[in-house]
Amino acid sequence: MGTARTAFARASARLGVLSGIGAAVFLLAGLGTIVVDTLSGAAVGGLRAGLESASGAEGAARWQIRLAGDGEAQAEVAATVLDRLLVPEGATWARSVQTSPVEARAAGTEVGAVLLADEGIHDHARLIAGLWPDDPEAVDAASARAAAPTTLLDSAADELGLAPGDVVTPIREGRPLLIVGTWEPVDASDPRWFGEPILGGTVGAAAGPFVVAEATAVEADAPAFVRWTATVDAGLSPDRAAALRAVLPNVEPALRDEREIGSSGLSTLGGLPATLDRLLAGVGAVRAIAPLPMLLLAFAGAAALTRLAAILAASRRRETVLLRARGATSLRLARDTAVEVVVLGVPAAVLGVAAAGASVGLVSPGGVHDPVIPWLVASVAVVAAVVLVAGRAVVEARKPMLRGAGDEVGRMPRTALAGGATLIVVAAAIALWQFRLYGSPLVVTASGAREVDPVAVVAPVLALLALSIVVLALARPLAAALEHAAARRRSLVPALPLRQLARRASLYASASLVTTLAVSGLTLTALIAGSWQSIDRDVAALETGGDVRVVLPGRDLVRGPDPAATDDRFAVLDRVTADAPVFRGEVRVGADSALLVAGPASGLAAAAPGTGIGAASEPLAQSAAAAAVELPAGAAVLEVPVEVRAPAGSTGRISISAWILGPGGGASRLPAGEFDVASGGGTARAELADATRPRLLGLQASLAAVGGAEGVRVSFGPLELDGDAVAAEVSPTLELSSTEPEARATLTSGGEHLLPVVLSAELAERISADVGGEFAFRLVTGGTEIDAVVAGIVPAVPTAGGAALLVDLGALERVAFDAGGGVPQFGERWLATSDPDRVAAELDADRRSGLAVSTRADASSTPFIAPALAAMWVGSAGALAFALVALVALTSALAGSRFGEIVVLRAMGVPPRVQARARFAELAVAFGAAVVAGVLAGGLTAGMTARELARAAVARPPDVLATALALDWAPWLLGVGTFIVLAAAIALSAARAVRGLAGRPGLREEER
Amino acid sequence: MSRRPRSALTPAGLLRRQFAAAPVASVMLALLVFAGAMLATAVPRAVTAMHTAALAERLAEFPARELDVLTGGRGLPELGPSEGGTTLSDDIDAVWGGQEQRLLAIRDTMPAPLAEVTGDPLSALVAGPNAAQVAGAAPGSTSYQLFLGFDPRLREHVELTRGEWPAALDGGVVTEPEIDDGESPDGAIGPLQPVEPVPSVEPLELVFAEPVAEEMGWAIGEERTIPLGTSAQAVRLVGTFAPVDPGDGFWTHVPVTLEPSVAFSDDGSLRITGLGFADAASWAALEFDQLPTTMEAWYPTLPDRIRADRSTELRAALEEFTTRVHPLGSGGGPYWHATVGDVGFVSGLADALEDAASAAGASDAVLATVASGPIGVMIAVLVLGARVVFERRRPGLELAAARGASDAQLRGILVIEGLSIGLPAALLGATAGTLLVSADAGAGGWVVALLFGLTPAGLLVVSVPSLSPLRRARADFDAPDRSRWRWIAEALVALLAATAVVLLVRRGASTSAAAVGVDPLLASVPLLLSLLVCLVVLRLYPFPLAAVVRRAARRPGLVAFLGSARALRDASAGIVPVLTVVVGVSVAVFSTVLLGTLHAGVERAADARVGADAAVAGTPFTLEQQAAFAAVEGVEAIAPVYATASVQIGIDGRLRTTTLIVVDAEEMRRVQAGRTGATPLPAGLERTGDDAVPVVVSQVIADSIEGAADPEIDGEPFEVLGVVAGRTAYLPRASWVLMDRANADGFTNTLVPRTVLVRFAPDADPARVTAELAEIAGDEATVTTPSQLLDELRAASATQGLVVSLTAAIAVSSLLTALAIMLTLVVGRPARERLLPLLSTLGLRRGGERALVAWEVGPVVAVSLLAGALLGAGLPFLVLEGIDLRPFTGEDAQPSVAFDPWLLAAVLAGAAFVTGAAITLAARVGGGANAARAMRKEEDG
Repeated sequence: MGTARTAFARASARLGVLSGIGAAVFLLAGLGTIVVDTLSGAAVGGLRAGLESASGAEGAARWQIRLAGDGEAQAEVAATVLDRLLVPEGATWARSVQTSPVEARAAGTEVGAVLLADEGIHDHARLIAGLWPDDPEAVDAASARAAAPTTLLDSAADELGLAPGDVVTPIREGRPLLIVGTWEPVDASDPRWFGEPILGGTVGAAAGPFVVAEATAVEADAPAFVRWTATVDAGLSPDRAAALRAVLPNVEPALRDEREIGSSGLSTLGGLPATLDRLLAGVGAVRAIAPLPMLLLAFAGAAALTRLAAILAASRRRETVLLRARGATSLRLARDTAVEVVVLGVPAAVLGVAAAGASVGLVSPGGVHDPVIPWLVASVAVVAAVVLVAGRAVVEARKPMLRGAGDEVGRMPRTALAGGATLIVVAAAIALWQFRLYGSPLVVTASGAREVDPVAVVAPVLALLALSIVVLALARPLAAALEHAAARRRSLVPALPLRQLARRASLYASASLVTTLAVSGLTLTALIAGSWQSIDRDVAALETGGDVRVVLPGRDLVRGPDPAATDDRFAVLDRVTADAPVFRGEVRVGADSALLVAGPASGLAAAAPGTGIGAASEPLAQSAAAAAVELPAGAAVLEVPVEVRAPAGSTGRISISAWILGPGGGASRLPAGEFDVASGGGTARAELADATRPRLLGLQASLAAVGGAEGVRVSFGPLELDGDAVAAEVSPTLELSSTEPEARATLTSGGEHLLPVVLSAELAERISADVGGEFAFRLVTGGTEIDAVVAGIVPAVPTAGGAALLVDLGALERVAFDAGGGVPQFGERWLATSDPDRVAAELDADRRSGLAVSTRADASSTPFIAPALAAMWVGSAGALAFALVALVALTSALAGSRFGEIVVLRAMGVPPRVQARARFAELAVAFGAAVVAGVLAGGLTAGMTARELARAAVARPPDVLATALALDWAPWLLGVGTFIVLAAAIALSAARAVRGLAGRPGLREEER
Repeated sequence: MSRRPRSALTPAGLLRRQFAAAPVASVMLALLVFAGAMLATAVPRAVTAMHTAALAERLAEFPARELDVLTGGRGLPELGPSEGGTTLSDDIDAVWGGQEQRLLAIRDTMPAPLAEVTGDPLSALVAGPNAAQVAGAAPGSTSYQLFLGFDPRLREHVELTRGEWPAALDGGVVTEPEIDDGESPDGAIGPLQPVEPVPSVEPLELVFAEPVAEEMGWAIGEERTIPLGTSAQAVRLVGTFAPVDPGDGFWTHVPVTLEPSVAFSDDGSLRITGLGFADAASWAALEFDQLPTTMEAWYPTLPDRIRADRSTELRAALEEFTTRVHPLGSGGGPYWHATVGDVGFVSGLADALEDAASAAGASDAVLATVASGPIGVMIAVLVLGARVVFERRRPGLELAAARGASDAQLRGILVIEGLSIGLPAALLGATAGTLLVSADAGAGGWVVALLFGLTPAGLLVVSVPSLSPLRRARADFDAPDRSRWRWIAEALVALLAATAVVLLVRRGASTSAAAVGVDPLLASVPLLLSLLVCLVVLRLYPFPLAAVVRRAARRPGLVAFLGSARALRDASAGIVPVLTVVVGVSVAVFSTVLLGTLHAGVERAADARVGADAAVAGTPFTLEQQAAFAAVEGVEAIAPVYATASVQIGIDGRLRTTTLIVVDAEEMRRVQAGRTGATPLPAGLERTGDDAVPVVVSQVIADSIEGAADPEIDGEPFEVLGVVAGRTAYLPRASWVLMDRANADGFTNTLVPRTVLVRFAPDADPARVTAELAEIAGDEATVTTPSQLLDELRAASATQGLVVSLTAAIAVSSLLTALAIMLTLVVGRPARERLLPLLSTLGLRRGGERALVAWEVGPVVAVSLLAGALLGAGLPFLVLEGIDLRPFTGEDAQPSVAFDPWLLAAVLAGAAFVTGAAITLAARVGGGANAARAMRKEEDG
């Protein structure tokens, strides 16, 4: 028989085991591709998703300055700087010129026309009607009417009632504008448009943008600004993103350095740096957990392949001996085996890769895929299979000829195994120690960067492996003890299987190990996923505050009537269940700075659910109630007699304002009338009609003196509300002068000497403050020095990071008002809603308001971690599949090696049914124990690493926020359940085979 | 009355006899435990003491005002007497007592750790500056600015040198003047206005420090006036004073007290500013005079009471105290007379402590790295010592086992002996260590000492399984089981060593120390690498030895063959002694190289910082002085550093402030010729006329301008001719730009040097030249030579600490190595006692016997010595990748590895000598065995 035929015959004879090897390669290549592809795509994909979802100003950086006299030179030097700094890092930039509103008349009404000159507008906007202003036809038409051509934003045209052909005429000077067309942005949320409110068509009196030629914008009767807006392509690689982040702060100084740009007023806007910071933290997090699923899959796959290799070698024991006796070298036998594995493995790997590609494409169409990865993984799988199987064949071929069953492990391999196991256990101990010592797989390196630590990062997988090995080592004595116990019973079933288990432990070792490893991997994954979900939820809640956080632009101090403080426009939105005005501002406590968050004591907990600040409501309630005097509902006019005394001859006017608090505690200053200093006073009157549930904070008198009036005294009489007396008194007399032209009449009741504050745990620890302790801080916004008493301590204050204080907004306004400092104006509203995305979309749609809206989903690390976790689930599932392969291999090995036992037991009269039950019990105990051990090992490893890994996966978790160990039940139960059912099915079929065999009449040992 | 026999066969008696039978080994083991326990308690205390000393040095760099717990501002003190009385004199107390009392009350609320390190409160009020007019002075003549100081404890701070103490002005507290609220009878009102201050009838009396009085040309008794509202207040100088302690931190809180400030006004006239103290009670009379004032009250920090080990608590206490507000007065009053109210205190102490703590963490990491080797050797020697004791007890125990003693009994005997060796020694050692170093380092050292005490018992007990009543183990047969586990252990060591090295290089000891304190894995890199090399040696050395055996077998003599064959087959040496020798020698050599590196680094740092044979610095030097420096006999050349001025570097619009150094390149090259550490001044530096100014820049600047389009210095382009890492001799900063004097116009206004570098003639007497230079330079200037600076750098606590620990590491590991060799030979003694008498009956001479003993350990010790020395020499290259020696050397760059040939030769020779001596000694000890007894023993088996 020729060599090839022999080889072919040998292969056909062991097609079963070889198919198993093929299946293992298929699984390894397929699942490996999915895992590696998902992981490599997680960082890039998360970055892309993050950049894509960054809309408006969040995704762009903008530098803006007045248009210089020599606009061309200005544009040229700016282009040089931006090309040098930004373009190499993957950013693109665009220049545009926009004017302040030009007072003009159109269709009989006055309008502030905002002119925009943007050369690249054609790429990002489309015409609705007519022409672009640079169209020769448009230019001709306009010059015929001595006007400049312009194309108006469609929505603005609608609102103003303008159409192509209409003329907009500047009121003071300048050429009229002939509307030649209307346009709209292709995507108004594109960062290139920077989320400008004017894209809504009108903002107050301003309307536009009127797209014009740059020359038209330059000669317009209003200041023109030139803006350079930098945006990034979503396909930016993590490294380029990091480089871009590093270079962004250098742009403003570099522009400022160029004389042609202009001397002052250059400003930097946009949230691109913050967006990149957040996304780069996510990239680091993915890298920290990426090795877990890969190693898990690799270890399980290697173990399963080893097991299959051992079975193949054992089943060929006899022919190997024969071939060796007939002169075949061990290398030749190994080569034949390698050829077999390659012939079978390559198609299996290709199939696996194809299947993986199809499933990945199905799950995440349009995801980021590296074409090299599948082929790399497939090659690794095939090479690993060849090395393991052919290597085993070599070892087997070199064994002494007279050795018995191939399944028995010799002394040398046993020592090697023990040594390897010891090495793994020690390595795991070191890795785990380092992991615990540094508390995270992300460690600061000597260069100062926070990078994935190569030792700490493998700690979880090594711990799983080591614990699985330890469990295996404990299995033998445990089985011996069970055997001893079972021997006391008279029936065969517990005694026989347990004896088998105790005495053939090495047979079960490999399959048990893979099972324990796989189940422990699944448990670890479930615990990491659960812990991550928990901390991600908490961190997102703390980062955002409300379910939806709305930042109102351009607010710092209360200077006049503030409709936002007294109306409830957000509360009436559909699906909004609670809302609260929130002031956030920096404070100085001692030499350190901290962040102060002020909101309504009673409503904050409802508006920011899940942030744990409900505990702060009660300590702050009293200060909230004492902040101001409640005015009766429905009151319309507040009146107060005012007496003005001044040295004779003083001139000027006194204006009186009434300060009220809105329902959430936001202050508003209402005008209440003006009096000549010489007039001696009168009755001040403030309209409260628009305010819901107003509360009185006090009165203020301001002196507008023409010529240095001094010593003006203002006295207030009793307050009346719609003619009824108000149960509130204010300090009766104020003194004003040209050097101190403002004074406040504060309430004589309510208010507190010490402002009650709730501290974050970190700040409380830093300043060693306990409840009841007193301290002082200075509010940077408004500059008020505030004496405070600690009313409570919460773990963390939402949106405020580590060192933070929480106070009642009304009480804060009262303290600031009474102290005579600037009264802070809340700049945010936190909304609680059942459908954050929809509410955010609704608010976003209203571009004119200039609101910045964010939801908890924006702060979540899901875009990065969800794929990484998916990879972990796939890795664990793969490991379970390998455990099943190992189980099948084991049952087939048992079927071969224990044929004699069946014969003997049959001869001794043990019925087939009992034999089958014994085999099933044996397998069930072995694998049941492995599953339990896996759960324990996974739990133990998770106890040591899951919280830290979950923490590492979240950007900027507050230090005090404890990570709870939580289990993601559903997938875990599904995984373990499916595995148990399938394993039971395999064990049942093995038992059935035993029963069938034992039940065969005339069974003899020689039949094997 | 009959006496019981003394050596009854009671357990105690038997134990005593057993101990007395071979006491040397036990005593040696006890000594080892004693040494270990002593080090365990002494070393942490010494480290704490070192940190405290380093902290004190660090704190000494700050002016006292930055460390004191201070409040200050424009608020006026609230005057009035104290209630319970203070230590102020009665007249002062009547004015300042109330405030003093409130300060004391605030001090009572201070957290204890802070209160312990701060002194009693002090306060001072300074009013000014006021133009002090000399009667009849012409406009444009010298103007005088006078600060008035009011210090309630003036007489504790100064002593009168001339004249008399100032008298209190018009005594007593002035009541608040009535303020007109402007309401006139007709009901019209006017503004609230301060009343016009009225000068006192008597002039205000002052005392000046001597130099101030002199510079202001103010004679005792002379009166001048200061403006007070629209009128003038007369001030009279009545005396001069000298500070009780010019170094007192008090003087950092008041401006221009001890020395006047002399400056040119914008109009070109001279302006002299000084501070004179009035009687503190005088303030009561001036309180409403609307003088510009600042008042400071502070608790002086007492650095000598601050201990490094309590700095964390102190920082927390400071944080707590400085975030609270404290009532120092009632506050309020109109703006021209606002008295102090609630105040907050500030202090720079917390930052200084934090810096010091992070420096201490980094130095701990380095010390732990140095210490890891000796600790490893110590453990190995302890194991060996315990083995010797066990071997001594083996015959007795085996006999007992043969006669039915249970394992528990055998263990009991060993535990009793182990504890009686270990515990007293550990107790004594720990006590000695505690007494040796006076510092407090907690109880950790005692726990380690206790562990040392229990180690002998533990080591003896674990040897019990090797007791066999039946047969004696043959050391020359390698137990198969042992060999199988050996490679596992070796792989483990390799794994650990590789991991540790990778992590050390990647993380760096300092970075990791900042994150987690000392990481033991990183710190044990030297030990792990030594272990690894030792294992390699053990694997490799049999090959050459086998060749020696084969060659010796072909020769006639017995000794060489038998000796080499025994050395090869009988592992009486075993792994432990080899390990000890390799680790010990490598650690000794490693420490030696590190010590040499440190010394060389410090020397280089001193040399580089001075930059010449001497540097004269401190004050501006006139041309005459410069000429005089050059004219001093023994001075070959001088090179002034003409200017060190602040300039702005424009880097793409970002402005970065740095210092411009101006030197004459030619002069400087001449002075620095032949110096290795001198800043290189490339040719072309003095080139003029180009668009770009040629400069040399520091690495910091080079890094910051990298990639910039057109960097500029003060708006002018420049060309970088060279980049130098770190500082120069001309300026103690790392960020600088250097240019030649020829190009300096436009960058700096003045070219008056404040530093002059001097080159001595070859035959000059440095001491004399230095003295002469100092004389010319004046009192304010200092003359520094590299050797002076070297002494200073060496005296720094951190450097000293490292030198001491390296020296100790060399000594300890050398001694332990010698001990290990001796113990090895002692372990091998029973085998020798069997073999040598047998050989001598066969005709082996005494010399041959000694040679056999030498063969026993000679080859392995020689190979180990060599391997250890090579490893020790190579280790620093690797370890310095991860640990930062800069804080210890004071250099800007990590010092490159330097071999000090003499030190190295001495250590190697020492190692060779002690090894040789140990072998000789052990050979003699084992030599005199009784042949007949040995023969019988051999036959008995």
